[in-house]
Amino acid sequence: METGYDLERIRRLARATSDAIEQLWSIVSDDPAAQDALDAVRLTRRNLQDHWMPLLGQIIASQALLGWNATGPVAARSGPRRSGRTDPQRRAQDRQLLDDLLLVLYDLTSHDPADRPTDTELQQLATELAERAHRSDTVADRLLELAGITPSLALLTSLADFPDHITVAALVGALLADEPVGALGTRHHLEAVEAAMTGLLDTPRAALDVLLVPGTLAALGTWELLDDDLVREFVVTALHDAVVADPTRRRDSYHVLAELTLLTGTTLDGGMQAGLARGVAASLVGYVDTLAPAIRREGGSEVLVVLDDETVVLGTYEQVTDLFGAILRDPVAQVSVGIAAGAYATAVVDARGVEIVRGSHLARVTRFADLVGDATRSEQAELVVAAAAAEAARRKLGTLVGVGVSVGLTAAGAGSLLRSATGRVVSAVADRLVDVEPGRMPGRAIPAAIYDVVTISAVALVVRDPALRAPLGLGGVTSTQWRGLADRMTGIERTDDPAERARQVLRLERHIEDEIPDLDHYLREVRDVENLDELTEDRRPGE
Amino acid sequence: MRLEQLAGDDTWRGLRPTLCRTLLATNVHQLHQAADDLRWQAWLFEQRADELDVIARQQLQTVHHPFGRVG
Repeated sequence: METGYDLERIRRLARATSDAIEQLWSIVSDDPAAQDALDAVRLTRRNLQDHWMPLLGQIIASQALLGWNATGPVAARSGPRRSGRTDPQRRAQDRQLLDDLLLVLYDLTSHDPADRPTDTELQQLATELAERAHRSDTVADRLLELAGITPSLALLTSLADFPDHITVAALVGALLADEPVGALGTRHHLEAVEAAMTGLLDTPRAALDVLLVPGTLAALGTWELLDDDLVREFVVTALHDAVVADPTRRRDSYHVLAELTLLTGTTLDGGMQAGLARGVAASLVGYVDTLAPAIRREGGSEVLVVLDDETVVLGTYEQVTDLFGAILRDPVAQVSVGIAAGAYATAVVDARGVEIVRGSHLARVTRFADLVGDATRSEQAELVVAAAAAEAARRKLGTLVGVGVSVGLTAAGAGSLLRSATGRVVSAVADRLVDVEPGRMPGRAIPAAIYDVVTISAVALVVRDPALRAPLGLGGVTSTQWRGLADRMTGIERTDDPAERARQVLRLERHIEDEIPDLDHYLREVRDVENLDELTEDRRPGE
Repeated sequence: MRLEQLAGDDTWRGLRPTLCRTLLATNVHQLHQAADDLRWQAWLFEQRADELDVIARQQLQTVHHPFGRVG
C-alpha cells in the first residue's frame, strides 16, 4: 500500500477533527431511550480522540519527508530486528495481507451477515498472518497495533498459531476495549474474547501474562456474560498450571492475587463473576503452602508472602479475609477452598513424619482454618467447606498441595490431576449435601473439621509407618492395639456421611484417651501448637 | 460527515489512515443505526399518542353527551 500525505490538508483535517470532537462532547441526553445513540456518539468521539488526533499530530510533527539524506532514513526504532532486508516482493505481499486483514476486520463488525467473512476465509487469513507474524517484524508490529484498537483481532488469533505476545495483546485489547454498541456488537465482542481465551488454554504462561496486565482481572470479574466454565478454566490455567510448569512464576501469580485482593474492596465490591471465584478457589491448593505461613496476625496487619526471591504483600488480614469472603459466596468455590484446607492439613502432617511433635507447622494449618472460618458468612457455606475439607483428607489429596510436587504424578500433567481429583470431591460433596439442612450443623464447622483431619492424619501416620513408633515414644503400644486402631481408621475412611465420620473420630479419640495412654500423649504433643485446641471450641456434639 | 470528505486519499494514504477511515465508517454506521432506532421509537410513540387522543376524545364525548355514548 502506498503511503503519503499532504501536510496542508492534514492540518485542515486535524482542525475539523478537533471541531468534531467538541461537537460530539456537546451531545447529551438523560433519556434512557437514547442510551444506544449516546454510546455510539461516545465511541465515535473516543475513536477521533484516541486514534485520529494522535496520528494527525504525529504526521504534523514528523520530519520524515524533510529529514532524508544520502544515507537514507534513520531507523524508527532501535534494537535487533529479525528481518534486516526483506525481499521487496515479500514486503508487497505482507502489505497486501495487512490490507486484507483491515477489510476482514471491518466486515466482521457488519450488521448484515452476508457481508461477514466465512469461517474458511477467516481461517485462511489467520493461518497466513500467523505464519508471517513469526517471520516479519512489520506484520507483528501491525498486529500489536491493531490489538489495542479492535477486539476482532482476538477472534483471528484464536484460529492459528500466532506468536504468544500477539495472542496475549489481542486478548488483553479485547478485554479492555470499550463495550460495543448494540446487541450484535456485544455478541461479536464476547465471541472474540471467548475464542481467544479458549485458544490460550493450551499456553498457561501466556494466560498468566494476560492476568498480569492491569484491568484484565477487573474485566473478567465484572463481565457477567462471559461463560463461567471458560473463565474458571482460564484462571486455573493461569494461576495453577502456569506455576506448576514453571515455579518461578509463582511470584507473578501472587501479584495477580494481590491485585484481586485490592479489587475485592473496590471494583468487585458487589461480587465477582462466578468463574473467576471458582478459578481462584480451584488454584488455591497450589498456594496454600506459601499463603498459610504468611497469615500471622489478624486485623490490619499485612499478609506477607515470602517466596525464594521476593516478598509479596497480599493485603491486610482484613482485605485477604474479604477476598476469601467474596470467593466463598460461590457454592462451587466453597468446595475448592475446603479441598485446599483439608489437603493442606494432611500434607503438613504427612510431610513432618517424626518431626510432627516439634515445630510450629501445624500452627499454619490452624491460622489458615481460622481465616477461612472468619471469611465464611453462611451456615450452608460452612457446611460445604467443612465437608470438602474432610473429603479431601479422606481421598488423600495432600499430594496436590503446592507446586512442583505434583508434576509427574500423571502423564497428562498436574493440571489434569488437579481437575480430575477436585472434580471427584466436588461430585461427592454435592451428592452428600444435597439433602442436608444447614441447621443440622453448628457454626465454625470448618476449624472443627480441620481439627479432625489433623487427628486422623496424625494417627494414620503412626499406624501406617511402624518405623516412626519408637522415636515418637509409642514402642509400648501392643500389636493388638495397632490392629484395632487400623480397623477403626479403615472404618472412618470408608464412612461417607461427614456427620457419622465426625462421630467416629470422637469415639476414636475417647478410645485412645481411655485405653492407649502413650498414643494419647503423642496426640497431645502434636496438638501442642498455637491455636490448635481453639479449633475445638465449637466442635459439633458427636453423639 | 465533513470529516469523511476531508480524510480522503488526497489528504493521507497508508495503512493507519485506512484503519482510521474504517473505524470512522463503522462509527458512522452505528450512529445512523442508533438514529434510525430513535426515529422508529419516536414514530411508535406518536402513533400511540394519536391512538390515546382518539380514545380520550371518545370518552369525553361519552361523558358530556346528555344521551350517553355517541356512535
